[in-house]
This record gives sequence, structure tokens and C-alpha cells, in this order.
Amino acid sequence: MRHYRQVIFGGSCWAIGSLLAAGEGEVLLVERSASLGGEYFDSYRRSEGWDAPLDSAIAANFRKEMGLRNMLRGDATDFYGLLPAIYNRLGANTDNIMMMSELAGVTKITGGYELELYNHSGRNVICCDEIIDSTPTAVTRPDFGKDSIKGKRLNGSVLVSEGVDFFSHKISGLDLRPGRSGQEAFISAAVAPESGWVEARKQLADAWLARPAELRDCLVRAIAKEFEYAHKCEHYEIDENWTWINASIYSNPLLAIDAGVGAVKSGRGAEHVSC
Amino acid sequence: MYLAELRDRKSVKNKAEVAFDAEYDVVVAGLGTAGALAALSAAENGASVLGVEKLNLCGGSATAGGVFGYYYGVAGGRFEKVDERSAEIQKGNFINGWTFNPETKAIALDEQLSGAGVELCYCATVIGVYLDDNNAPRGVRLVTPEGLRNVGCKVILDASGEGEVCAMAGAGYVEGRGLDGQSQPFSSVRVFADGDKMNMANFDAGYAISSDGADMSRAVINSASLHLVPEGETMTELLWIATIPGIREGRLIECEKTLTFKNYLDGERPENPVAYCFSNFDSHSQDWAFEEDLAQDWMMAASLWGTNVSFPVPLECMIVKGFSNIMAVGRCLSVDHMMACALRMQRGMQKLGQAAGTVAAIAASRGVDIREVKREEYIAQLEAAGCLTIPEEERAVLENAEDLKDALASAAPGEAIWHGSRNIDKYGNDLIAWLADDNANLSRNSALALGTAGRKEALPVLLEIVKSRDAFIPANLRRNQPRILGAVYLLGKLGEADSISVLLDYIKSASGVQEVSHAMMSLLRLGRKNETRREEIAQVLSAVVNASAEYNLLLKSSSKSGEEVSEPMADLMRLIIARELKAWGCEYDISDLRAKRLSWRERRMLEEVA
Repeated sequence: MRHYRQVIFGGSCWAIGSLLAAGEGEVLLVERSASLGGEYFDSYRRSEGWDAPLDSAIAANFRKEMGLRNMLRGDATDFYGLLPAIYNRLGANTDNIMMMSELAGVTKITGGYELELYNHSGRNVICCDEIIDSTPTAVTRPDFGKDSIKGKRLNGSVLVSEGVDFFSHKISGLDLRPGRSGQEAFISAAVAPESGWVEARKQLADAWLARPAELRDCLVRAIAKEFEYAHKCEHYEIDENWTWINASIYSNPLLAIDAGVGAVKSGRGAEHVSC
Repeated sequence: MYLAELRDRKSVKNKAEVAFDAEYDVVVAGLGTAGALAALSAAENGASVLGVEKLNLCGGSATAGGVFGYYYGVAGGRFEKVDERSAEIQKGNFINGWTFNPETKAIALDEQLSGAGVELCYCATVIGVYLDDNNAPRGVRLVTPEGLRNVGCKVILDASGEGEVCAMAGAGYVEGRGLDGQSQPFSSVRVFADGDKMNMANFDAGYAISSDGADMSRAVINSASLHLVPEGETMTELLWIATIPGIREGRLIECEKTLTFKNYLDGERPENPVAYCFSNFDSHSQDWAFEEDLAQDWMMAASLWGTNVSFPVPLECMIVKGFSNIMAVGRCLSVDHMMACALRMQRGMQKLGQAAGTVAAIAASRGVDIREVKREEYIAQLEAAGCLTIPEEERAVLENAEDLKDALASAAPGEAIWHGSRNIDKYGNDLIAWLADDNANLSRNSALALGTAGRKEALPVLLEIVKSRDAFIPANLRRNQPRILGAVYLLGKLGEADSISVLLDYIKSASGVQEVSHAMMSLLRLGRKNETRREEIAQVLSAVVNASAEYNLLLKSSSKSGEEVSEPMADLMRLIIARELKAWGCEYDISDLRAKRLSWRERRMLEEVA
């Protein structure tokens, strides 16, 4: 049975920072989907503070890469452009990442945990000393995950038509904020924490379809592929050496990566305020 | 009762006793292109349906996958109403897609499946199948956002794309082509706004074995990195990178009937189809030298990649052999590697999903196996919905020798080469006579037709094509192949010793993966048949395809904005050579490969050779 010092659930930016900072073979990152960093990128969550100081060379290098590709524009920074750079950097770490892998069970054993995982090859049981759950829904402890959510939003990217003063209008049921260019705005629907995807998409679409006539020429470009979550707390000790962390408390994905790196370097694991 | 799961890609069954949380008539595993329509149709035919989907939306490649345009197929089927509703939501509210807007299609699918009573279980995965002693399904085990569930059912529709549930159950399947088990390349897609339209960059990003978790993980990470632009360039603002990898071909499940490329080309057409598919043999393989002979006859000798053909698909291609009430729905249906290239397009898959769901509902309501549902119980419904619209093929009609001659002499001889080779009894003498014609196209294309039919009379002209480094590229439909490569392939196929010196000469001056790989494969075939020349062939191959050789295969891009991705092929080529030369007892050094990071197919071949 393969052993890891630490298994991190959720391909969050924090987790990516941790993985990149960790020694070879020590950390396994398990993500159930085929996407990384969804809590920032595919949620279209607001990202800001792109010029905030970064402690780690890893995060600083990512920022440099963004700069070299003209992505850094203050609050209008092209946040999504960071994602391919992250994948590119992780090319050397694919042995330590299990994408498209489900967790079926956690069993406490002497010295750690046994994890029952499923991916395209089938069932695979591994063991570890420590579990960090950085998923927004706490896949390792779903009942806690459900209770920890205090808010949920579904966002969308909108094409702002030329000549339309988008932000001088209100749309019932939607919050509005500027996008990555003058042609883009983000719309945001606060959905009930218990809402599923069907209800949430319908709520967003219905609100948009009922928008004021002055915004008729503006069109939705895309709906976020992940929810934007707000949690009641930042950190929860599920059990001994089994911790859930809120990986989206940072102002932007670079700071999240930086924090993940810092957690490894400080040896203090997840540096979050406890629930 | 047994719980069947996959462990290390193999089905493992253990006795199990479990209480099911709920019971359904039909469980649909995967709500992608086929699965969404399967679930919808089953529910609309009265079944209680649980739809299990790994993503958080229906539609698969059409929605999350960012492929929002139909590639051929033919209109008709329940999916048209989904697309109509999608268009209704989209008009004036969402930007235009290509054929449809993926966001509004997802919303329309949510609406219609929920409206029909499908219980949608998103972000969930089937991880096990419960079977009775007769290999009939009792239920499934799944991971959901709320935790593990065990649910009972009468019928399982495996629309996972990869035939995962069928594989768990222990169904037989094939993967990839004969030479190395490789399936078609997969895509990575990014979606971006292009003015007031939605656009995608859809390009082949590499190879992966979709039944291997580690390889899939690697493939997803490496392919997504391809969306990064070089330093100094400005990144286009992305809307999303596809949240599913664009797998074209995975497991092909063994069902009651298998549609094969050979049978199709021999004119066999299944009776009693439930849907028609319409496409070219849309293979994204660019390494044609490593495909089976019949594929090379079609693609290389006749250069007919772009020819669209119509495929009637019977229900039996989805009824899993050896199991009761389990169906392989979607691209994992029972076809061979080459047919899988054609039978995977969205319109066709949606129709097949509809057929499967309709029949599953009837079987469940009567408490019988799907095989006992009679055609007359469901065909009228499928017909009325438009599933049985027969596509019109636009093929050249060559009625006589004059037609054939004119076509062979033309710049677009593909259909004539094929037709001539397939009717060699009728046209053989004409083709032989035309070999001596002054019209180079007529002479050389006649040689291709004869060579494809295995006729050795073609040899002198085929040799001349290679010796003269013929630069002709036909103007058939899309993606035409240079005539010289067709000739190189056919010389190997014909197996005559006279070809060896010419091909040895050719490979020494060849450049690029296409020329070298075709020559290499033909020389290996010739060596198989001509023992006395093996040492000579081995020496040249060792010199040309050596440890420092670099051969990069340019993969296909399906959109204007796609990346140019190359797949390094030298290691695979060396392993193919090593495998053959080992059988000959000839030396060929691949010792350096043991220390290299190889792909899964290269590792497998290395084990074989070692």
C-alpha cells in the first residue's frame, strides 16, 4: 500500500502551493474533477490585491509569468490566465497528483489514515500520516462541509455592449462588478447554500433574462463552472492530523499559492484561524 | 449478489449484502452527449431514472467540453427539442455559440431532464455494480457529495464514455489499434469570447489511455498547460478550459453485435437500425503507418479521409454481451477502432442515447431483459422523433470503365482508386492496361488501385512512384495524403523482394516522421517475408531510426485557434523495430530506453521486447 506523509484533497491553489513546496513523494494531491484551482478560476470569484507582497519564490514566479503575458492590470487582472501557467509548472509533478479521483472512505489506523480512492483504474487504497481537506465542500467529511457553508454564489461573465453604462443599472437578484476589460462585467447571484446546480443556474438565468431594457444588448458569455463559497470558518480539526481548511480566504490565487508554500515551510500545516 | 468493481483496471467481484437506499427502474451512468438523452427518453417513457454525472451539468463534450458545434451527423431526434429550447433561452440573452450555446444547452437539459422526472445526481460517480448470479444488475454503488450510496435498479445504461460501468461488471472490451493498443489522440479545448460570439480552440493535445487513472491525470495536466501562450504574447481572456478531457476513443465494449470497418467496407449494413450516424472516418491519428491495413487502404492509398458515409446502427451494438439489462451507450458502443472514428459524433450519439433510454424504460416496466423488447414496441416512436432519417451520401458514381478511367486520370482519384480496388474482377484488366498510359495520373493511380487489391502487376509503377519521388497530392476531400506514401505502404503490403532496395534507398533520404514511419513499416513487412534480406534491413533501420533520431508527429487541430502540438515518436518507432527484429534474431540497441520516462504504450512494448 502506497504511503504518503500528507494527502491533500482538493486541487486548490493553496494545495498547489503546498505540493510545489513539499519534498518529492511526500505529498499527494487528490482532486475529484479534471480541473485545478476551481475555487478561484472557474468560480469567477473576485480577485484583487495582485501587487500584494509575496513571501515565496514560487508565487513570485507565477506573478512574473503573468506579467510577461500582459495579464496584470490591477483589479482588471486576467485572473484566468494564471491557470495554464499553473498547469505548465505542475508538469514535473504529475506523479504526485491524482486528478479525477473520488474518495470513498477514510479509516483511521495506527499512525494515520487509510484512504479508499477511485479513479479510471478503479479502486486504490493508500495510507497517509496526515489529511488536509482543502475542498469547499469538505469531501472528507461532507456533513461538516454542508454545515460550514454560510453562503454560495453563482457568477457569470457578461459581454457589455459598446456604449452601455452597465454599472449605472441594477438587476434584481444579481450583484454586478467590473470584469477584466471594459467589455466584460461579472454578474453574481447569491443562491441558498442548499441549492443544487439546476436551481442555481435557473436562478441566475432567470434574473438575467429579467434585466432592465437598457441592458438588453448585453449578453452572458459564460456561467461559472464552480460555485463561489463563503464559509463560516477558516479551519477545522476533523480529527487528529485531519484538517479542513478554507482555501479561498485569500484575495487572489497567488496569495493562496503563497500561503500553501508558507504552510510547508513553516511546518505548521494549514495556517488558518480555527473555527 | 456480488459487488463488481475495478481494481488495477480489472473487474473484481466479491459477494455482497447491502440494503439499497432507493430503487429505480433505470440508472444512467454519465449524462453526457448520449447519457442525457438516454435519461430523458427513459423518463419520458415512464421509467424512474437516476442520472449520475461526475460533472455538475449535463451535456458532456457539448457543454463542459466546449465543443458547441455539430460535426456532421444528421438532424432528427429528441435532442432537437433540447436545442430548440436552448436557442430560445440564448436568443438575445447569451452570446452565440457555433451550432448552439453550451450554457443554454446545459440549462435546457437541466430543465427537460428534471421536468421529465429524472433525479439528477451531479458531482457523483458510479464506483461499483451489484450483480446477481445471472449477471443481471441489482444496483450500483456511487460516491455522491453527501457520501456513499447504494441504489437498486433494473437496468443500467453505461453512458460514461469510457464504458467504465461495463468494465466494472466484467464485460469484454477492446482498446485501441492492433499494433500498440493506442486509441485516437484526445483534445484539450479552451473557450473564449470572440467579439459577440463564443469561440473555442480545439486541438489534439496528446495521447492517453483513458482506462488508466494515472495516465489520465498526467494527460489532463500536460494538455491544459498547452493553453499558455509564450512569454511576450498576450493571453486571450479565457472563459474556461474544458472541465473534461476531450477523449475520442476509450474502451469499446463487447456487445451482441459489433460494427467493424471491414464489414462496413464490404457493404454489410445492419438491418433494423435504431439510428443513423453520418460522418467521415474521422480519425485523428496522424501516424497512419501504424494503423491496420484496411485503414491504410482507405486513408493512404485512396486518400478518402474526408468522405462522409452513412451508418445504420442497430440496438444490438449497445446490448452488452454476457449481461442482462446493461447497455453500453455512446461512444463506448460495440465498434472496432476504425468504426469508433466515425461513430462518435454528437448528433448520432444523442440519437443512440434516445434509443437506449426508450428501450430501457420498456424493459424495466415489463420486468424483462432488453433483448425481449420487440422492435415494434419502440421503433415508431424513434421514427416519429426523426432518429431514422437516412443521411444522403454524396459519393462519386462510377458506372463503367470510362468513368473509372476519367476519375483515375483526374486530380481527385480517391473514389476511383477505391472503387477499382474493390471491383478488381471487373476492372483488373483495364487497370493493368492503364499502367502503361502516358497520363501519369492514370498510370500511377491505377497502380494504387491494383496495389490496394493486392495485385503484383502494380509493382513496377509503384516502384517508379517512389524512385521518382512523386510529389502528387490528390485533391479529394479533406486531408489528402501524398501518393508516394500510398505507394510506400503498398510496396510493403505486396511483399515483393524487389521493393527492398528501393525502400532502403528511400528511407536513407527520407525526412520527417511520415516518410520514415511508412518506409520503416514497409521494410519490416518485407523483412518478414524475405529472410535473406533481414540483416540488410536491420542495419539500415538501426542507422536511420537510432537513439539520437527525433521524429515528431504534428497532431491535428480542429479549429483555427488551436495550438500546434507535436508528439515525439522516435521511442515508439524504435520499440516497434525492436519487437520485429527480436523475432528475426537481429541486433537492435534500445538499452537507453530503460532509463527513459516512456508513455504507457512504450512501457508496455518495452516489457514485451525485454
